Amino acid sequence: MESEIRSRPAFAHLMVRLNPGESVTAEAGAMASMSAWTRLTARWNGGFFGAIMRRIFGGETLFVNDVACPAGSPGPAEVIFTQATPGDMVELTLDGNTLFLQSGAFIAATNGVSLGVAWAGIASLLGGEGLFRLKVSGRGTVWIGGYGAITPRQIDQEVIVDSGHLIAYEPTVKIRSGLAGGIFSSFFGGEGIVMRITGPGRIYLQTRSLEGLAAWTNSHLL
Amino acid sequence: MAQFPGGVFDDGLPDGRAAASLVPGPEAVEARLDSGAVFVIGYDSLRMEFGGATGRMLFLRGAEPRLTLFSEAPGLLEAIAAAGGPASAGAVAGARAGQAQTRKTHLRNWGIALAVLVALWFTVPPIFRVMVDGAVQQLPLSVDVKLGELASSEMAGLGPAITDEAVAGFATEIVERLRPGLPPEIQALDLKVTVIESTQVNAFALPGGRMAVLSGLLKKADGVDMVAGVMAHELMHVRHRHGMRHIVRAAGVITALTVLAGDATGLLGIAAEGAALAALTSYSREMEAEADLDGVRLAAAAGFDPAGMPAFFRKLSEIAPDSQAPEALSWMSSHPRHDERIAALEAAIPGLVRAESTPMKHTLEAARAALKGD
Repeated sequence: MESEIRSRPAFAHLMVRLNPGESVTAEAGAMASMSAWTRLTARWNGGFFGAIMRRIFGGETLFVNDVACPAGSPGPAEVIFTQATPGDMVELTLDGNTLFLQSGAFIAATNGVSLGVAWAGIASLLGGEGLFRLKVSGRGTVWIGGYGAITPRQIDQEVIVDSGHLIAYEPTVKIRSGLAGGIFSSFFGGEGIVMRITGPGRIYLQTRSLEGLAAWTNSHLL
Repeated sequence: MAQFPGGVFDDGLPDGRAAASLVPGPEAVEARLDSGAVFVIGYDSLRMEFGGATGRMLFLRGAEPRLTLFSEAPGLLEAIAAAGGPASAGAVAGARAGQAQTRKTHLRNWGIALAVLVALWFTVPPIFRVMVDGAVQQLPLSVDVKLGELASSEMAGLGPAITDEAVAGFATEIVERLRPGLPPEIQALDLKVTVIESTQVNAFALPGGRMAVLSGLLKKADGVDMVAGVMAHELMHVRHRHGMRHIVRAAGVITALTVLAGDATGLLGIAAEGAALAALTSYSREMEAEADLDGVRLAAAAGFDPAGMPAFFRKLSEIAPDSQAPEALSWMSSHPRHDERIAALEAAIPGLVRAESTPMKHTLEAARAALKGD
């Protein structure tokens, strides 16, 4: 299997070339183009019940797709995956460790990676990140995407992240929701509820937030 | 020996971290990496605490400040206690004390949050009501009239107006009999009533005093007192300026939600919308109840039988039962349930003074006879 993230950073898309017999798991709707002999099979995203909970409370898709190049195909299958927002993608390697992904960040993963759904808690909900999060663990490669650029950040002391910017994190970090400043500044300073994150661990941030775009667009509609 | 899946943070590792199996021994906890490397923290220097994204991740630290072991596997703390015995007892006690402290803090925070919610639940609605009433007082009645004019074009879409004197005169005579019971500024409005040809059993009032009676109501009513009861109810919506109040209140709720939860998504957004809907519909139910009780008083003061209004609701519940909205959902409905309204009215009627009644010039029978297809 070969892979390459192209057109970075603004309009990144992922090209995966699957040899006959290989497959990857991808977010529903992420596939933009593929070789004719590629086989696409939809399955519940994290089990039937988990998928429905994630659809309702996490804004995630109900299904994920298994994308395979069947054995005996005339050649490798080239598949292009894209994401809904303009922005970068990164390739992460799992080596027995676990990562939590926020809704919409997942693009695709290789076979050794297992996808699960985990309860994210009220703090995550208040931070605008949904009640559930995607848990990826095992061994293999995960591709994630974000709106804008993606920056990893190693956390040792507490950092404050505005809601809507966190897209992935290691399970060792602790996330609490809180106000950005006093009551007044929090309501009128435009930051509202923020996440206070303590390490040790690594987090991945997207430089832009969809809520920010939505608010900016909204202000021009009236 | 039991192994627990977890990991290691250490500056010496490539990328600073690696997955590892944690193995509690008699003297120390070992972290064994796939690469064969082993990291050790002795019980003499071991400190442990729970944390991480779920709060169930156990962190182990020793004398070496840059080394941290971690695992979320259940049973690790118990395994360390069992393997180390007295040697690990201090570290285990420290982790448990920290866990208990965290639980206590959580419980306290939830308690505070709950108390704040309960306090808001009881204080915000009455304050808001006073503010809405104050705002409506500031607006002159001419605003109601303008609003009614804007909506009156929609009235025309319901069906053709019936101009036959037997029908139109009947409705107008009821309004004229009810009029003296209204305050002077409402009497001064153009309280014009139109009968519209329609099979619907309904009547409504627009802000500013224009009213419509659908001819289905005249066909189904069992007497003039029923029609008068409905029209008195509608006049009370005009008198209490319920249309304006509803608009001011809706604008207030939407503004408040936009300020407080403007970027709320997911469940929080759904909850906010639900709260707004519940607040507005419960308010409109209060307005219906107010129009019922003041309307029945108005009808009695004009010499109509106040029992006409509850009798009409009973009739209505036969035509359109509440079956669409079961009891548990009644808080979502903008109108109170028929049985609740009937009960409230019947409780109020014995205390009312009915004025002496004089025969009407126009009768319901004559109006009905003039209606087509009856």
